[in-house]
Amino acid sequence: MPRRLLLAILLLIAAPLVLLGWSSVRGLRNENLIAKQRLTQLLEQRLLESEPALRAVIDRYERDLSTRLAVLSGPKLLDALRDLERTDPIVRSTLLLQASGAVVHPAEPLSDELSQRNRYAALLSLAASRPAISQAGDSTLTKSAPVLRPLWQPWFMDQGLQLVLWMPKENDVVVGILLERSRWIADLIAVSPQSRSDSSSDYPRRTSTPTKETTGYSELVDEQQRTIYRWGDSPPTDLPRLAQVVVAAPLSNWKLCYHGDLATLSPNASATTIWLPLIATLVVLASLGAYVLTSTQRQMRLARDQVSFAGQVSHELRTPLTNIRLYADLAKSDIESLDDSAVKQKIRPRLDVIAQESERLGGLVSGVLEFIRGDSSAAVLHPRNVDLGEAIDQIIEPFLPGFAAAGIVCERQDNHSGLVCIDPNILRIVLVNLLGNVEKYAAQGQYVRVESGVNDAQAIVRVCDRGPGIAAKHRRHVFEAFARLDNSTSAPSGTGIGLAIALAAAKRHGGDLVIKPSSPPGVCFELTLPIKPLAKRDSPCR
Amino acid sequence: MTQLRFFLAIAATMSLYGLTPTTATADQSVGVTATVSTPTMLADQKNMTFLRVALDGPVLIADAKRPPVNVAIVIDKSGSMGGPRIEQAKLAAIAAVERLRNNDIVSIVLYDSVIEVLVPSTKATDRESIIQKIRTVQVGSSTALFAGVAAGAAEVRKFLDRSSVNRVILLSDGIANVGPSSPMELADLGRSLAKENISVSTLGVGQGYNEDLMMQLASASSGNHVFIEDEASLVAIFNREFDTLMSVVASEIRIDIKLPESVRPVRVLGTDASIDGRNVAIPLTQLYSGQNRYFIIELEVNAAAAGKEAKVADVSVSYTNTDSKVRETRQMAVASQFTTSAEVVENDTNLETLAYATVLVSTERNRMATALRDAGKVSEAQALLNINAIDLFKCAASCEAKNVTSVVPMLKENVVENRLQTDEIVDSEKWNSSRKRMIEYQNGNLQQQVYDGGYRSSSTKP
Repeated sequence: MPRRLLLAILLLIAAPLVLLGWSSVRGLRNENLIAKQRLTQLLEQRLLESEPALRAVIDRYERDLSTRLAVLSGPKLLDALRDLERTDPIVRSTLLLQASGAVVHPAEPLSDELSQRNRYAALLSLAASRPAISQAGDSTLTKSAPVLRPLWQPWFMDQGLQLVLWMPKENDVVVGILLERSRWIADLIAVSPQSRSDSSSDYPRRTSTPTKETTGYSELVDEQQRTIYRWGDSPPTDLPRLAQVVVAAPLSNWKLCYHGDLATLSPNASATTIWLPLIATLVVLASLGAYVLTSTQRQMRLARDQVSFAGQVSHELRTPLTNIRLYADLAKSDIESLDDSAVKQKIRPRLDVIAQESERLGGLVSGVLEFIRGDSSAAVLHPRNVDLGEAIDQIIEPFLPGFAAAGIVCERQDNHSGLVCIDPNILRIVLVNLLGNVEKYAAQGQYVRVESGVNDAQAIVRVCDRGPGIAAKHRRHVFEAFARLDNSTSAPSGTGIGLAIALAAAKRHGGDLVIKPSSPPGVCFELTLPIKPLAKRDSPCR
Repeated sequence: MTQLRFFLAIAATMSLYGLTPTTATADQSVGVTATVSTPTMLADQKNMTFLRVALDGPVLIADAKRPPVNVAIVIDKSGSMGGPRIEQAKLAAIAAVERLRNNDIVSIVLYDSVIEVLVPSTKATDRESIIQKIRTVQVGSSTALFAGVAAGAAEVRKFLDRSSVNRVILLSDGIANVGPSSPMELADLGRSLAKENISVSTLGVGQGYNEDLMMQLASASSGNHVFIEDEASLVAIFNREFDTLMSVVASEIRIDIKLPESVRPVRVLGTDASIDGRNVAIPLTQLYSGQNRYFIIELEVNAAAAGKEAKVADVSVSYTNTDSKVRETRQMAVASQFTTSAEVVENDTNLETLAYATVLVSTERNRMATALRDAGKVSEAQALLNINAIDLFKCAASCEAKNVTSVVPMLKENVVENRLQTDEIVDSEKWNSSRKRMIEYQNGNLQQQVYDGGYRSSSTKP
């Protein structure tokens, strides 16, 4: 029993802990998710801070090249384009197209060199794929004040993205400038933050603040996801990508990414936030459990003490009882040998009462012992052929003087005649208890009715009184040991185990003892005992 | 190559006396010559000819006065540089910084997977603190070569003076693996930097670097490319690089060749020149003291009648004299005679020009041999090298016969080099190393580089 209790308490402690742990893990996960999202947002914001510098580089090209070619036209324009190709580090090739789309510059190469020819072919295909820019310039709406804005075209050749700047000129002439890819990449790198800078130098320098305290690096990634440039703390192994932002057009397929170790970046309190409440709850629950366990154990020890006390008392009573019965019997036989006299007539019935009462007491005591020990030796039944009505009468007889004294009318009814095979001792234990209770608790009803019958191979005995009865809510408890409905000192004396003993006896016989619903006042107990087949002659029936 | 020997001899002598080679004084200017290999051509048929435009940097005696240099030293500190290599690199950088003067500008950029500007572009007045910083360098992980060069160039650009000497010196022993990493992308960057008169010298250390990438980057920006097999020679090589750097006599060089209608440009040998119709423009960032820099343009001349003289090309070379900061221009026209006599044509052949053209043509074949060897075609590659050796040898023989001795040592050296390579390329295990030597040799020829990694010094150099 204590082990089961211990398990129950452990379960009681574990269940909320598991629940709490689970919910806090979930909460933590949610929190981490939110923190991660927030972190991603933060990192994206930081990455976005680097982005305008990149855009500024492209804008600068647009501005510089537009300015250089702004007012030029005709042969001067062609010379300017040749000069650009030759001297401007950012210019790789230039194109000059007429309104018809005819390529004025570059001219078809005279040289045999394959690289020159390939480049020419590539530039022709670039000219063919140019965006419709001139149409926008001379549409009827804008004819009065043509807005000749340069236009960027992303174009793919050689290693990847190439930038081409188209500039519409007067008379629908279009100038295209293919930028030197490596150069604008180098320029983008030059404006990007550096990894570690020399703080002692006089030159102001941009540093990568988001990566100062944690391991992580930022990257500029091209349209094929190749790293172009990296800055920050770069460990030997690659880290997962935590955030990315897209670079503005014309580099629209390029991205700025942040790679880092999430563990070092996210809030580090995860372990304590989860363990602290768990441990606190564990402590509270465990101390509560310990309290419950110890108090329950104390209660149980008390009950056990009560039982063992009752057992000891009963045991102690046995010997004097036996002696009383022995001497009562001796006195009776002594009296039989005396001459008849008035004294003898008076004494004999008194000795009989002594003998019967002591026998009843003996039965009670052995009932108590049996109940306490759960004695297997006592559990053996001794059924024999009995006349039910007669047996009941015998049991009632010793009570009659008491009933009479208390003014209780005892009514009898037997709905069966003949022999049944039951253990009369069981019947006795039960009835003695029930009648004793009537005498003790239901005397005010001044009535008891004992009826018997046989039904479906069961002997049925009912004991009904007109006493105060038992409230419905107590009915379940009256059969429990030491359950007394009134514990006040004014209550009638009693051990509190009578009905428990009676029920245990009935169960041992395979029968039952229940409270029958009856019209108040009073209470009506019904004992059912299964009947064994009748035995031959007077031998025990089995 | 002769010039190289000569220069090295002088440099060696001068360093003996604790002197450094310096630049031209105002009265000494760059010599420009333009010649065709066939001053007389056969009449009434199309003729192929080589036009040679040569720039001779004047060799000058030591002078404490030299133009300031603006140099970015870009050092690879990726993991492979660990150990003695980074230590030697640091020593080399320190030695270089010690040679600077107060009005020079220096910056030091380190890169692994990310860029670190160790010393932002600054006047080299407090050299001791720069050296202190160099001493703190430790190795990192991967190799962001492109960004390293870009950052180095950005540092140089802060104090960019186009008429001065601007250089990024890249020291690397590894393959670029973060950022753009193809030889073409690096060449594009080099070409772009050359337009700003910034050149990139690439020093490849050990067996692990990508020689194609390093060579093309240097070549596109007229920088030097050197294969440093043993890091122990790093300090010496760095010193030589600085020797050349400090001996620049002309910068911002523009070479323009205008061809008449009757002449067609076929190609420019070994140089990525821009050919726009009949205008050929050749980029060159600088000319060193004592350097004989030349370009060979293959031309196709239309048929002309015998006895006629026809213009082949107008050559214009302009440059800034780094000492006087004066912009100087040389212009000349090259013409040819036409005759019906093959003998006259033969006799009139400019053997010197032909010899230089032969060297460049053989160098182009040498590059093809490298490609063939890459494809595992050893015998085909050997056949090409053999053709080279024979061609060069024949050329040397006819030069000797005609008493044109100035080019003979150069031709013979190339014969020897091609012969040696014929044997060296066989061994697959040594191919990595031989290939780096081959690339260095090719670049040396194409750029008339004034010094090399010194690999052949024991075998072929006097």
